[in-house]
Amino acid sequence: MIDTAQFPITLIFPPQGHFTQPYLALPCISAYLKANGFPDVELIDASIDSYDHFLTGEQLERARARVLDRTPLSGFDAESALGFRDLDGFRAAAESAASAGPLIDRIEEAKEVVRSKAFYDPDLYIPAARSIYHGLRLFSSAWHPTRLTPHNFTMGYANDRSDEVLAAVRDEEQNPFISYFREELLPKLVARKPRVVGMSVIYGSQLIPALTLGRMIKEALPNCHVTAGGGFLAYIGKKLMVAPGMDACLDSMIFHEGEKPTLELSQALCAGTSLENIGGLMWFRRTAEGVSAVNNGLAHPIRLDEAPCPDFEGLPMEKYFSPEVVIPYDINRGCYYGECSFCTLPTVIGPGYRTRSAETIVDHTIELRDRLGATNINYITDCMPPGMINDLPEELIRREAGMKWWCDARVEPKAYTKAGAERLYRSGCRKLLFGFESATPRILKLMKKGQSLSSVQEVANNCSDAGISVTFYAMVGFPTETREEARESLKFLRENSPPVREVSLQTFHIDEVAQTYHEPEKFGIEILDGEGTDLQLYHDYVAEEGMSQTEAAEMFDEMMQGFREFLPIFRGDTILYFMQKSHYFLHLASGKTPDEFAQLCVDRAAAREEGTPSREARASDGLSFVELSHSYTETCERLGSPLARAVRPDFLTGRFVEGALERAESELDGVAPEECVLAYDPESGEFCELTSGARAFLEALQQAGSLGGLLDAAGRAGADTTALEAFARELHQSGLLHEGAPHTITPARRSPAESSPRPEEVTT
Amino acid sequence: MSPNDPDAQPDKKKPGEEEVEASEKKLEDIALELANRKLEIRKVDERIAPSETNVFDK
Repeated sequence: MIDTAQFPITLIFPPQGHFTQPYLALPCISAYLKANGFPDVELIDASIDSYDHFLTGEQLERARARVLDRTPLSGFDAESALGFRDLDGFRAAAESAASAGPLIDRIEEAKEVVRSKAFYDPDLYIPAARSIYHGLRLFSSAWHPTRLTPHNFTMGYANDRSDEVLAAVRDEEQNPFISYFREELLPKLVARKPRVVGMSVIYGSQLIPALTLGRMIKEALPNCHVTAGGGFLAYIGKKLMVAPGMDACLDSMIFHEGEKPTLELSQALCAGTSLENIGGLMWFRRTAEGVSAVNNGLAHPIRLDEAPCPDFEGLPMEKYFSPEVVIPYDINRGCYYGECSFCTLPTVIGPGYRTRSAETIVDHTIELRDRLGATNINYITDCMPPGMINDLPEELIRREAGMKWWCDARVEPKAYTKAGAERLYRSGCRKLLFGFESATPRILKLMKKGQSLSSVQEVANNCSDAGISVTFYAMVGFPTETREEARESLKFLRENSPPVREVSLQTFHIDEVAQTYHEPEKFGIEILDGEGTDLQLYHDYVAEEGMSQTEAAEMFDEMMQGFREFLPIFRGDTILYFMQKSHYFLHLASGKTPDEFAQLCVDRAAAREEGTPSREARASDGLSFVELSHSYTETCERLGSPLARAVRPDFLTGRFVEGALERAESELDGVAPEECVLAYDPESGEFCELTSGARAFLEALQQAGSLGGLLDAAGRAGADTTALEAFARELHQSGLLHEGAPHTITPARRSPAESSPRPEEVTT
Repeated sequence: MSPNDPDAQPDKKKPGEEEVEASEKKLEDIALELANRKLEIRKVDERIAPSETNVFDK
């Protein structure tokens, strides 16, 4: 008799994913397991848990000590120019010296701001968001060259070589997750003794942490079966499973959607039966003769409309860096269009297209609303199918679901009519993201996008007129695209802002499952193979015409610079709302219109750029200064160039560009010795480089208490105050002068009751 | 009297007139000197990396 009730299963989302909202895959699997006889399922989001843990005063204090030990500022030769290899370490040491103290003191408060109603006040949110970014920079500096950011995790190892990945998994010096797992997560797992641990690896940034954890679990719990699945492994899983040494980290791997294979795996392990008949599973057969990888072949996908409502129980909703949870929920799997030549979705999701009915979606939406006390939802779909664009809002309105939501969409002029867009708005839709990609018909044809620019404009205008914020996905560097064509896209976006409020720009990458890889001649490219890259998924290429990869990276910067000129959200520091998933959406959900939010951004940027400080303006008491032997600004500029960026593992591909380090070393000038001061202002969360005179000015301003006090003192002393006033304006523009008293924060996280449903504007 | 009232804290002396004058004079000297010093500030032009615009897929 199988006793599934006594069969503990733990599902883990390994670091690193974004920290603003939970991910969906594991709640789907948890619900499916529970509905099929396995009640003891635990969910752990080790990504948000680790962010929350690393961003504490205690951990940042440890980070500061580690930086001082590993990369002291005094270790950089004050007499010589800094070469390219020194730059990253110099920046880390300088930032740590200037900001560690204030960050240690304020990091908890920063987390509280983004988790509370204070989030909605840009004067509080922006410094808090910056503190979180800088806190992660400080943390990363302690593990240099490793980098953990809000969007990525990379080490000095390539993701496309199994020997490097396995070396990273064991590198106690550079892998911060070894000690984190050992001290924080593993003791809990050892106490629970799960029989199965399943990990969801959606992104390349999770690969090393997931394998690190897998290895440690296998050592600590030899009877626990460790499996992993998810989008990223759907790409490289087969290569990974035959790489030498990988059996030390995993027992099996699940391909495509995880519900059914995880259930069947648990049933087999519980009953002690063979794993051979479990579809979607690749596993290690361990015998006296050795270990071999067995691929069972693909599984039949589940009937989506019969899948249970995702179960988020156990996820730490209070830890996500958002004031209100935005629930992810999948309305369909696969893409109804399925033609785009750059898209590799079938590889990740599995073949075919399945959808839930509008009734089921709204049933689940209401169930999640009531269970989690949440009113915001992110409908996960690659593009909302045309019928659903009509049916879902109708059902949401009819059932008075009272939710605000956002999702991805495809340009469908027959569905996103004026009436259709208005219905979407009434149902709670506040933001739609369309695949625009390019303004060049030739490129759109190569991409097989099946959309015209006039239809793009029509759909965007209809949605915007209805009050829905429109975001475009755009791509730069598609094979054969020229600089002029990319600039045409920029021009089109400029002319259509609004209705376009945000642009998510990506440089084009070729992966092994895309049409561009299999038919390179159609796209005028030659694919390059890496040496020794046994996990390679992405490839460099040589284009017969159009931009090279380096030129595309440069064009990315040019286009981003353009966006910052004409997209209000991108113009100043409010770009941080765009950079954190769902944060701009939460303002829309709270009642701001896209126009009102755009105006807020414009006013905020103008006050900084054009405003003049008042006589009451002051310098922060918490300003900290550090003397440097080389320019911080020049160091950062070198590190921000496309050439330098290519030296780091790419965020998407996790790989190093061949010869990039040598090129950066030879083509980027060193940073010459130059005495300067790095200032960190904890009230604005900004770094600035100063002359020693500028530092003295700020210290005098602290002493005077106000700008008026300092200027009066200068006047009494007979000084010409013109230069001082002009410099005060520069300080104001740089965010180092403050008006009014320092902000104090009253923690007031929204209670479920406050954020409960029933917005007034939902009408039938 | 609240505990935060300066009068309730006998240990904290208010600065005397001479001290205020000395402090003002010192500030004037500093301000005069500042007017003749090189006052410059440089900020890093914040570049947005590709990973940071990929927030909807990730």
